[in-house]
Amino acid sequence: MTLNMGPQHPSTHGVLRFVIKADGEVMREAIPDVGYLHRSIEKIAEKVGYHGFMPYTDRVDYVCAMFTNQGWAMACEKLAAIEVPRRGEYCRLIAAEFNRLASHLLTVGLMGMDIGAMTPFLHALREREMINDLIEELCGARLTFNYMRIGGVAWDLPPGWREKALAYLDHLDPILDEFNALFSYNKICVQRLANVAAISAKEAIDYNLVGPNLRASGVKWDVRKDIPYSVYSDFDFEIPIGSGEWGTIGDAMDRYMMRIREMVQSSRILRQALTRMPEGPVLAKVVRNFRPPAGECQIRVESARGDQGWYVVSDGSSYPWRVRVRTGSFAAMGIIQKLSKGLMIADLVVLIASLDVIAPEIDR
Amino acid sequence: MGAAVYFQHIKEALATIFDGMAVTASHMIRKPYTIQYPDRIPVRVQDTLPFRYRGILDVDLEICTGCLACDRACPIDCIAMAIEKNAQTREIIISQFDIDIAKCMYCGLCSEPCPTGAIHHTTEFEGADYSLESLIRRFIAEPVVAYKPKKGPEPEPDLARLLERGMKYVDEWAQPGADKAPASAAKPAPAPKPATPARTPATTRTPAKPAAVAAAKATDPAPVTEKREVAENTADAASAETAINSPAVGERNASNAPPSAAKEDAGKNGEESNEGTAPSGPKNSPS
Amino acid sequence: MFGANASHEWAVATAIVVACVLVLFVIAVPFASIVTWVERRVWARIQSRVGPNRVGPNGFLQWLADGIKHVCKEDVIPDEADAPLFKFAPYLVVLAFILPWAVMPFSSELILADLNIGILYMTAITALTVVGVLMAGWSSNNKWSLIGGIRSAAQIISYEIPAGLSIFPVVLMTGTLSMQGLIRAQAWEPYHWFIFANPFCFAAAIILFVSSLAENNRTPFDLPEAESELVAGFATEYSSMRYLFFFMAEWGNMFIAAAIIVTLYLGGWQVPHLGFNLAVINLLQFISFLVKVLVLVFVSMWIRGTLPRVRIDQMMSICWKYFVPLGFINMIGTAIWVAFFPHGNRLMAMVMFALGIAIVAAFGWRVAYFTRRSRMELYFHPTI
Repeated sequence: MTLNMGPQHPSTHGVLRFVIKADGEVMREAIPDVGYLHRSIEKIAEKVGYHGFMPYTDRVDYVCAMFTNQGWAMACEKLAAIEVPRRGEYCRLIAAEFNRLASHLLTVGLMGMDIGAMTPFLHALREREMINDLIEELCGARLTFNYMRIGGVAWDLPPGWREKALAYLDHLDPILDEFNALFSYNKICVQRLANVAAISAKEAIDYNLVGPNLRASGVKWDVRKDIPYSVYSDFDFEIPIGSGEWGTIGDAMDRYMMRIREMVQSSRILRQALTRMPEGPVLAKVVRNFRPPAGECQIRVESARGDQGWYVVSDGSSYPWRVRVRTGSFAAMGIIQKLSKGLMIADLVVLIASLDVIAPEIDR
Repeated sequence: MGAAVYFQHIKEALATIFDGMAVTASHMIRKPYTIQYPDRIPVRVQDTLPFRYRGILDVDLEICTGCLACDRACPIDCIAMAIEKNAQTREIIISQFDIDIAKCMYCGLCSEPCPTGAIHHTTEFEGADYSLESLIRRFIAEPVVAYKPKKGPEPEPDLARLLERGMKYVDEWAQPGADKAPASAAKPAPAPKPATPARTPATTRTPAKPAAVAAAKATDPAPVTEKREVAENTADAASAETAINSPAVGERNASNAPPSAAKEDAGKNGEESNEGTAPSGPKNSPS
Repeated sequence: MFGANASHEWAVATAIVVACVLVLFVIAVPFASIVTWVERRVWARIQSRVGPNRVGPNGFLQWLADGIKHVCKEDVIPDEADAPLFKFAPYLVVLAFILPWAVMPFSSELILADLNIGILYMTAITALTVVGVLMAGWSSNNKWSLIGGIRSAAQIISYEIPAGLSIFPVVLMTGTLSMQGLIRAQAWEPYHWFIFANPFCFAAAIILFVSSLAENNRTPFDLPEAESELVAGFATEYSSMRYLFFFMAEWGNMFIAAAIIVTLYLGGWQVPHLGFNLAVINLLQFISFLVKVLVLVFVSMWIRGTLPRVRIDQMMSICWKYFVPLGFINMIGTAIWVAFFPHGNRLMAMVMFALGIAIVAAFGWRVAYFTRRSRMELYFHPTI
């Protein structure tokens, strides 16, 4: 029987469509159909110029916009050999890690909602709202931040923000424990998620998975540690790896728990960063009519969804020649068709939620 | 499944459900985290929003200098301005200033280069209306003379008040500067890890890159000093950190060359660098 | 019918009809409607939000507004659907909801019909839902509805067995199937309730509660209805009043399921012997019954707000691998117990009661632990 899980659906993360070929409950194949959210953002870059493209990068992945901002800024800085002041790098890191927290909160909440528990979703969103309030004080917006600029960040930390941020981190730790007690360790959740769609390490690398999806399969790869950028090498944090303690290595439970553990590590990084921020400017001197020399550059940023690649080609004018973003969600869509054989329809929802697929990132 | 595993499943189910229900029970007795907007709240939400909040744009026309920096900076072309320069009096007349707030993406790129803070984001977010026409905010009824910033403090009290608010807004933005410490641990920007080995078509271009970078470095100082339209502290980098104490408007605008002159400079430099580096552009297309 | 006692019988018949109508329209249907408002408020407080509070005082008339909205909607019947079956299916489901009210023991005198097979009648009638659901799923001419209908039918039929097995212990202990008889065998003190009589009854009560959740398509077993792939399962193609019938039946069945558990295990309408006149005693008994049922309905809503849903194969495995064997063990254990202690054992009842109190105390301690640890209130927006 051929079913259509259409673009309008309560549980696909964005506008996605699947054509499901099923034998009763068990699927033979689920063919994803992407492209519903394509907005030609990469082409728009060629029209608006380097500075003007920064707000558009927010829309590439609106759930974790700081990372796309950072990727674009770093690419332009590499093209023009601009050095970001140290305090600017710290501001970037703090904003990025808060955004990682917010994005992972949304993901674990959505996993709850997709398997039927509405309460964890709302609890996670409540915490995310508090982070949004913090970031709103920092840069004026709650979702599409446009916080970073080529050469640094646009605003310094407002007075009193550091104390508020540290107080929030203290508040978040018991909330994460409570969330785990309510949802993650619940027997029904474990039964729904464990041993579902296990991805082996070789498969994960073959299919180009990145980020928590890759690490859940046991591959220790994190751009922050392996190709350190910004000031990440100054900080002491761990990279959680999937160990299959709930089922098999690389199953949906591992991918889900990666995000919970990464939240704990982000909190750790944030505490270190907030307590030892250096003084200084946050923005380097960059001309208004930014015109990097001709050339190309490639940048990798560890976003909440994984290794995000930016490839920018400049021809020396004030408009880029080509911008290309490579996001983790696009690769994750490719593995869904292969994994769906033998899964039940209810497991397809779990699979999509555990891969943390966000539609705007797939189609840009 | 052995008996031990069987009873362990039952025990785990009961224990985790007990815990989960305790969590939800604890939430039932706590206060809900709901803002009952718009009527059951003690203060207006707009008054609780932070100063940097990027709401609907507003223009204080009395202090607009007509420099067109916002028009140029907007990435989505939602600002339409028309100015003329009166040859005799050397005044700038602004005849049109429209902002289409339906198009605006609230990015803040227009208020960043404004020298006086005339265009700024407010904390208003309730802009819904019945007609699309009303979403184009027209700030000019009849042509007005642009504001000319004074060398010292502004004498007129009304304008001074607006200017103070505007400069307060502008000073929130980061002041550009460079790190003082020479032995800082910041990584040098042009020392990247090489691109992934699978990208063989790029090898033809790598010889050109160092040359292009060198050429850029050679021409870099010139564009930086001439094309700067952003109001910056022209003092040396050491005093960049003290830029929080905002200088008077006059000092800020000392480097703000009239728009026409800057455009001419931009045009000249554009031609130069385009000639120098254009050839590498079209070769990119096949890859 | 006609003859010397004709007028007397006519009066009795009319009185019975009036009583039935009264029970249905004063208790059953309003309960099924008002409970939607209560559920939304309870659910919202669990989720740190407020719930409907605008329509009427504290949002109390929300159910009325929803009902009126549903009635005013267009009644859409799909072209390819089997129209007679499509229209008839909701009525079957509502029938399964209405009929058990005939044996609902509100108090010692207030019962429409004290059948001597009361509990068997109730269990049998609630199984009528299956026919209605299957009919709805099939006649909708929609693959998703069909999947939902079949799943729901499988679920309800499967969970009838643990439910029936959990009724057996009490029947073995009292020897009667009548509702009033089962209640009269208990007393008002909690340690005289059957739930604490022996550990088998304790386990049987829990199994009965969970099975009744499954029968009513409530979370964690609400696969047929709120599953992410099905908009509303077997009821996807239904609109307006027909849709409301399905869900009124579901919420009303919550009351019936709770009433079964209260009757069998929690002492029913039993109240202490106070020297009031009959009317007041009956009123107190009614209130006692109602309070116990509402507490169980509240627990059912609370579970809905806490747990995720189980997959269909896990649900079947829970039923057949866990509940049915445990149900049999309970039944056989109680039979052996009754052989040794025909009139119950006071000591065991007190021990089980103490265990129950201990569980509730541990629960309260855990709630206090969570409330103390995460101080959410410190980070509120100034407008809250």
